Amino acid sequence: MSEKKEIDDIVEECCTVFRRRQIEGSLPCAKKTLDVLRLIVTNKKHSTAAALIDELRNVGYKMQTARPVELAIGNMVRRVLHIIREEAKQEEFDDVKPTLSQPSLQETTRNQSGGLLSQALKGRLQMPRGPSLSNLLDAGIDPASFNPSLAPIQESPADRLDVVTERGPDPEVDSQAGGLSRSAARQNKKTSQNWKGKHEVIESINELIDELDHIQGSITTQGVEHIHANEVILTMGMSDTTLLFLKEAAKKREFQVVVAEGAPRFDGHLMARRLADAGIQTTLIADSAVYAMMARANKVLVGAHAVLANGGVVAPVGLHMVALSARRHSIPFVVLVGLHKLSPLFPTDPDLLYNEFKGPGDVIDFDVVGDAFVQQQQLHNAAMAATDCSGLGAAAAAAAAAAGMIPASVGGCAISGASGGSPAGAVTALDSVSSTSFVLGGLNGTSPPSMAAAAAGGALRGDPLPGNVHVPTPLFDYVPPHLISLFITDMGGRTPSYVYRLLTEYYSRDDYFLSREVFGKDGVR
Amino acid sequence: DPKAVSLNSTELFAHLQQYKRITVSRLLQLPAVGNIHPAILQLGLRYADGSIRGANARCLAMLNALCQVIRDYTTPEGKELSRDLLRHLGDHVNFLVVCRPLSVGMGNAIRHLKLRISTISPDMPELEAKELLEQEIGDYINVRIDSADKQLVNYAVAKVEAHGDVILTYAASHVVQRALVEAARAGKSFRVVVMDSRPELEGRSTLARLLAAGIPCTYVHLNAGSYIIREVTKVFLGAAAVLSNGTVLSRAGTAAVAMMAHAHSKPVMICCETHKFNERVQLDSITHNELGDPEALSLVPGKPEVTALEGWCDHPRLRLLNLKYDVMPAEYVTMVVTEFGMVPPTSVPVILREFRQSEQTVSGPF
Repeated sequence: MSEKKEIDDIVEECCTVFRRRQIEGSLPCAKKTLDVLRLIVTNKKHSTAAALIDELRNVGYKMQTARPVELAIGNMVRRVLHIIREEAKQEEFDDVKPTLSQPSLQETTRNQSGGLLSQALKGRLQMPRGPSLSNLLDAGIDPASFNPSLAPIQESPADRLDVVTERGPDPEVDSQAGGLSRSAARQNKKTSQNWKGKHEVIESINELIDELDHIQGSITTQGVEHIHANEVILTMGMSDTTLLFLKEAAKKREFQVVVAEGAPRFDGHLMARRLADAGIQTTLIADSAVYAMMARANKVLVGAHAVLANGGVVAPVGLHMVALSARRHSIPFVVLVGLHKLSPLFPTDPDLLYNEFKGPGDVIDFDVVGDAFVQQQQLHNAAMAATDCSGLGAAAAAAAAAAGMIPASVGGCAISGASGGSPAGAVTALDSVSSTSFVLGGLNGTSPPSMAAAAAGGALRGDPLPGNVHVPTPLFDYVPPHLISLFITDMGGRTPSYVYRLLTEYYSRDDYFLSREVFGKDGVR
Repeated sequence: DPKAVSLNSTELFAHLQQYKRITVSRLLQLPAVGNIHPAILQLGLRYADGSIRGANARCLAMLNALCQVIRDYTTPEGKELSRDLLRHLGDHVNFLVVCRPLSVGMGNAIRHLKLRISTISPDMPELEAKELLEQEIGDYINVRIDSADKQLVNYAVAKVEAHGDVILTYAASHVVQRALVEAARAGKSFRVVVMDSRPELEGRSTLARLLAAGIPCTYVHLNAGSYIIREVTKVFLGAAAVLSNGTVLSRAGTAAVAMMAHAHSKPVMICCETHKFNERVQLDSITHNELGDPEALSLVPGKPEVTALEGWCDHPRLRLLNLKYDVMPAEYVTMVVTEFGMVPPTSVPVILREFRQSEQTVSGPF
């Protein structure tokens, strides 16, 4: 119990660190996530793979929601879950068909001419594979020979076995009746012990952490192949991977770099300084000049925040515009990413929240916002005065009062949706009034009252309040896959159309959505 | 170091007038500055520090100053007015160019004026000739700029829906601001997204003007274009010039806005009077452009913590480039709104041809 509490504290602390953005960047977040997961796997007891998966899934969901924009957290959780599932499947396979392993090897050597797919289709190859099109279409393979879903909660088999189920270390794992009795016997033997596959899992997690350390190195060594002499490279903002990539290439090539500022962070300044300090000829331009300079660039090299399942990319704000300009001038748009940034979510998935906003102070002075607010009040009061002094009936007065109840939204924080929605209640009684306010506008010849009246008429019709200013400052952009020419990853160059295939290598389908609500109780969507 | 690179993006612009910081002392060191009319001296300084900016404003200010120059001009003994005045004006225009390169509208106005001067007959008395020229300038301003603006605004306002439009505009265009204020005055209910970019941040003046007119506004940086374009219904942009191949020369960043709008199928309306049309053709933003002060990029007002570029002048590998204009291709432009109505960008050479013909038959405005 006490160890559970400690682990919970550690998880809480990790979530707090994420929430407060004390750790920035995909790589550090990924490492922290893996550390916490490794801690849980090592220190807590789980008698089955399913129990472990369940626990890690809960913890992972908590950590991901602490910082929804940092997809690397969820990615690492899914990687670990995939490792566990693979390990469990391998165990299951070894247990269920111990004798078949030999003949299948002989079969493989004999049928070298046929590839793995054709052999699987012929039903000769027994492999512990998850469901795929070939498996589903093939009648020859016994469906009981693999476990398509190690679902976290399986009520019915446990009921059948008359074991008290609890969401904890004890539920059964098999969904198929075939291997059930055997695995049940196995499970009953080790209810009090740790799942024996844990050791392998911890090894794999350590390997994964090592891999993370080598990602940048693997990407940057490819620099020389992609840059030729006297080339002009365009980039925007600051990306460590891109910086190292270019520095590595500069050791053997002469080229120059044009860096766009990258408002609202302006980290392009830092990038330009670092590149120049490394001896690369650098020119800094404002973001507005990117379209103009694209005509003279040879390629665009940028980093990304995350890669989505359709090959699209979540990138720092402004890169969609850069990608469009590159497409217009037929310049290759190359994205440097480590595969820890690959996420199995699509841009339209409900779990995906890919944008974050900064305060308006980065883009505009608060004076302007404050003045706008004051002005809004003045216009509103003028509208009040105008409707009152024209001596309209009670309906107009009531409407004016209703307009007065429309909450005045604070300038910079106003959400246009909210201000559009708030007069909705007042609209019903006010259609009759709108015509009178036009008459009002006609009566008052001078512009401020008529404008105010028109503005009031506008407000009464359910429009945003006049004089209101809204300043959104998004931090990320979504760049669709058709604008990206190439991904340079730690595994080499990849096209966006290949990304979906990488997903099956690193993640299990069951883990794509970490949240229990979306996934459902019986583990099937 | 034999491999020392002389590549430099700023060298792409070596054919353009390089930016020099203009101060009073530097101006007074120019040769023959004593002959320059004080109004032009003042004007040059105002151009250089940016207090007068924008195609129309600069053109108007210049024409007014030239009016004064003509008024104060006296023909020297033994010289002809038409030739000498041309030279005199040429000197003043060269001075203005040193302070800041001419815009296309200004160039057109000067060419028109010079054409008029050269047709003055030698036996016309000086006073009459000067009056004629002042009248000419007044007519040009009235017809080609002021009335044109009013007509243009009417056409633009007609394009704003009565209710529910979300209009995107970029930086500061006097004509677009007027159109939007008029549309609000006409009782149309819409909101405006003002897009802005560094280093000039001209969108703030647009924002101030629109807020004063009671129009609900959203203010974004150029980079947030991809985020905001989804809620926009149409785009109104100003122009510094529209060229004969339909390309639009405008403030740096306008091309990116038009491209984003085009990619999301939003109509792009360019509001440009015909005095800013030009015979020239241009394919990219590098052959003709204007270089601004690079120092304006190194510091970010309001963000003192961004200091990475301190001392960039002394760094051998670091350059800053401040481009003022860029060129958008005709395919991004849905309509050019002029005082004659709305025309597609490919009709610009047609309009220019009409003007040329009318200038040949009736030497003066149509």
